[in-house]
Amino acid sequence: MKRIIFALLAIVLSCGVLSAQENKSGANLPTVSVKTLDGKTIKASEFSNDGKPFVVCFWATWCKPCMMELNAMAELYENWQKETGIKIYAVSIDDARTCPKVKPLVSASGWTYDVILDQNSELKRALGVNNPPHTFLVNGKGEIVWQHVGYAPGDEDNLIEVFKKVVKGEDVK
Amino acid sequence: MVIDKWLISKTKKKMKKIIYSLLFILPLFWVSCDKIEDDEKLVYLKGITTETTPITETNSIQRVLLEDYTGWKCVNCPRAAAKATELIGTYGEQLVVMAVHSTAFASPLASNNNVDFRTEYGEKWAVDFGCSSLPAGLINRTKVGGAYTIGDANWDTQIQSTISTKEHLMDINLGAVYKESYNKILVSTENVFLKDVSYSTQINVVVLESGIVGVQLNSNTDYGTTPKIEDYVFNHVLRKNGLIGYPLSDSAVSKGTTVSTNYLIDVDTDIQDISKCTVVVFVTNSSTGEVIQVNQIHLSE
Amino acid sequence: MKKIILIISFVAFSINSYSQGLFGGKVTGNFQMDVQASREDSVIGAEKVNEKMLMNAFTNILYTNGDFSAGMRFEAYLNPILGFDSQYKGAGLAYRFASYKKDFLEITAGNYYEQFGNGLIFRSYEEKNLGLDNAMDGLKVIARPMEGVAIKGIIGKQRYYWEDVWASDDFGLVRGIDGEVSLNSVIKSFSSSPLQVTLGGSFVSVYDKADTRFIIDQQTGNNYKLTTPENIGSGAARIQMSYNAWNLNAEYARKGQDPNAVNGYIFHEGEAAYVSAGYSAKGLGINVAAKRIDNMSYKSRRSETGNMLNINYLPALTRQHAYSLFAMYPYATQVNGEMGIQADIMYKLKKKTFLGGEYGTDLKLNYSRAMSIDKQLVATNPAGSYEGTNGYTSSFFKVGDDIYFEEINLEISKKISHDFKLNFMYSYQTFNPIAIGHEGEEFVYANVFAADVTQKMNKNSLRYELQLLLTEQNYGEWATGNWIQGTLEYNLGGRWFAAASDQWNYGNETGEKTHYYNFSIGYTKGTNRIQISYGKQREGIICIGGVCRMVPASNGLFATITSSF
Repeated sequence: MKRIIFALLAIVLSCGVLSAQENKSGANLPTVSVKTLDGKTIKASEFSNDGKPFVVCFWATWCKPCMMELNAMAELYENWQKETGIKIYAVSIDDARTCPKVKPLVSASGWTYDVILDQNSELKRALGVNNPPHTFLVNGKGEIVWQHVGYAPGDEDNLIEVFKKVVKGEDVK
Repeated sequence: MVIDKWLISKTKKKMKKIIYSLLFILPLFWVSCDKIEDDEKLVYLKGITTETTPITETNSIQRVLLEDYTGWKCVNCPRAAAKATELIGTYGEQLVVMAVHSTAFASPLASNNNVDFRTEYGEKWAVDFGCSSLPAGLINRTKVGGAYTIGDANWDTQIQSTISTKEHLMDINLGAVYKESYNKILVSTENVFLKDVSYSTQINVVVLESGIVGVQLNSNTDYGTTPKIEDYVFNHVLRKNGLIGYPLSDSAVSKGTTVSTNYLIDVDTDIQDISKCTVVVFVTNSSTGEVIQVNQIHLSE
Repeated sequence: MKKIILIISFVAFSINSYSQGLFGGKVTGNFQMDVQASREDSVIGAEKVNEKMLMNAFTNILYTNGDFSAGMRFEAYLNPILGFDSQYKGAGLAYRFASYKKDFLEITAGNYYEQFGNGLIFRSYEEKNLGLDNAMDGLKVIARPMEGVAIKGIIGKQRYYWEDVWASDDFGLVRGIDGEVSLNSVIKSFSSSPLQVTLGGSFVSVYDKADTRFIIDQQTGNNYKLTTPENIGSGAARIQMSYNAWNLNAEYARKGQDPNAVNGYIFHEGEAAYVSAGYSAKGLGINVAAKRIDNMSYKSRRSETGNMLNINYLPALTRQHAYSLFAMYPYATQVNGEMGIQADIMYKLKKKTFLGGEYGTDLKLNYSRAMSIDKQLVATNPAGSYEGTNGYTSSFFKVGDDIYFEEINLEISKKISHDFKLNFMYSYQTFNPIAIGHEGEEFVYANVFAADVTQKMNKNSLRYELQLLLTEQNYGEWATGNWIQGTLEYNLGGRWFAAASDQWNYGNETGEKTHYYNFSIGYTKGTNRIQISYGKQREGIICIGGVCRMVPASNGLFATITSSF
């Protein structure tokens, strides 16, 4: 009986997922409270870039592809900001075990992102993130318009291309 | 002025917010911590144990407990004792006899080597049930004609009557063994309730020794030499260290319930021969004291 | 039956509003399915799987409409994959909640997760790869009356596989409160100071019905009943400070009398202290942490051993490794007592310097050490054990005699040229098998190396990885001599990937010199990802955050599908 229900649910959901690719109206960032590296509490719905689009990247100190992604983007970040006015929120899901390493790591690596701490994975769960790396692109109105999981060298070039399209107001899927 | 008013109202709002949020949280303040004192951490359970011994005595019949209140100085007691022996022959397994040496009739004398078969609880029962003139008998601790005590002449008829009217409410299945390493007797009981019982019950576990030879005063040559019998054989003597009034069921029990319990009884230092001992277990009604069922088991080596 | 109707109607409602934004609400969620088809293999110790195919799956559906949100998670373990507790077998609604935010209050009814401070006395979280989920079922209230002040209150019972925790008295009721104040926000004159201070405090208490437990004195046969406290309380206080480049995070927790199955039913009170200090400047990051844990296993059912029903979370103070040979001897927090320190230095050699090279080099140095605490045993109880006694006394600053784990680790990341990136790691590890429950066994000393090169070729990339573990300990079980592992991974256009790896126990002198080969291919598009692997999986331990799970050996197919929507 339970298997039947689950199969039914899986079918219904896959229809949902398929239709997702076609007519999804962007969801907003949830009102989940997270902390900045300075210790201030901020709601994810308050992330902003003065009306311009921005990027939200989930990572962890123990996640190799995440580190590769953020390091690769770090080199290009300054140029990107000049070109497009991009802003990247790097949300760390490091828990109490590895969280103390976040600040020294960010400083040592010389990252200038807005680093956010999501110690108990509240924001990760609210956004339906399975495993990092998971990147979201949010438009000027605060709607999520694009998502990507995983990282392969070269993905950062793809990211900035999509970002430029969103800045122009184009549709991205 | 205006700015001051605005500041005050803002602070008031803040205070309200804090108070409201605290009110919400206050009910959660029943967070507490139990602190157990050193002497309460491990509580010594007198008599109770988790060890078990196999249950061997399981015959399901309603039995009657005959308590023979007696003493070595009681000159008519040999007659009662002989009566009890006769009744065991008549009723067999259905009758359990317990000789409770109590009152001044059983107090020790130097001339008798200070032999003392009295027990703390035996003394108390003698007082509670009004056994002042001996011999006196109790049958299932039930009142007959307003009194608990029954003369030995009427024991037969009373036991007959009890057997025919008493409801068979429960069975006490027993197992008992002498644990040499502890010098204690391990008793395992399995109390099976055959009908619904609406009151709470208590259990009593005692040790009786038979075949003890000693002096007994006597006034009737039918039962031995007068004025005393030098080599009188005392049987079913209630020994010390019994477990009295331990809770068995604390509220109504429904038909079919089984309560298993295990006990450890310190061996009375006066016991001469452990192989001549039997363990008697009787269950009583907590409020009336009436005996519901009784059983006995001979101690296996 | 009611549950089925609820689920289907919720799902139908969600799918509907998903495409049309019913009442203005939005629907999001995710999905993951793991399928394993493993066959019997006596060489590596893979057991026979009678069902032939095992599957773990879950899906989260979240509905948000302004300040209101509700969600549910449906999980299916039909049957649980190897390494997951068989009590997970089955399928059903594992998680459901409704939450509403209004002004400064946020109320959640149903299931929720939460953490107080560092989690030393309360952390409810999930770690799917460990099969760990101690979600609370009850009520959560968070109040933020003003900027910088947060008060959290929780009450409820914890999840235990599929059991209906409200149906029985078996599971303890957890209640707690936590307050946090950022002094800079509350004290106006302090707000622009470079010194930032945040204070926090929490109280948690569990009501767990008394157990009947006896001990027997073998000499006299006397029985003693253990009085188990029904309310087990704990408290913690914390401070977080930062001053320019410096920062400090410290927390102290204390747990009341809690005789339980993990500590052997002793009345000794629990204590935990955790301190972490760091210096962060551009190009240099330093972090030093120390901790002490004494009898801090805190569960909502005192007879429970294992990973379920933990109320708190005690992080391990050792480095979390991503390379598999480095994680061969993982460390798990010894909840009954341990002291540890960890130090990290992260330095970036600037680019265009001699050592830094063209693009700069990242250096990471890590040292960690875990020791036992000093325990002075008290008098035994009449049965000759320690149940019902205070167990032991332990001086706060005294370290015990046993080393549990020690590691020194160096990692160098360097971009060699435009297309080549090198990651090199070396580690020297000392491992005491007590960490995996085997006391008194010979220690394992290992030198581990890893070299990882990523080559970028247009839109594609190729990664070569070589790992080497050298150890003299070869007495079988977990000490099987030297290992070597090679991995080749090809990534095509950021979508497709294929990988092949082999883990070879070439130094084994007590058993087979087994090759654990593995091939996998996968595809990623947007938020969907599918990966299929085939090969042998070594028996091992997967540890996340200091909590570990045994992964049994397997031989066969393993597929994972994940998606977010």
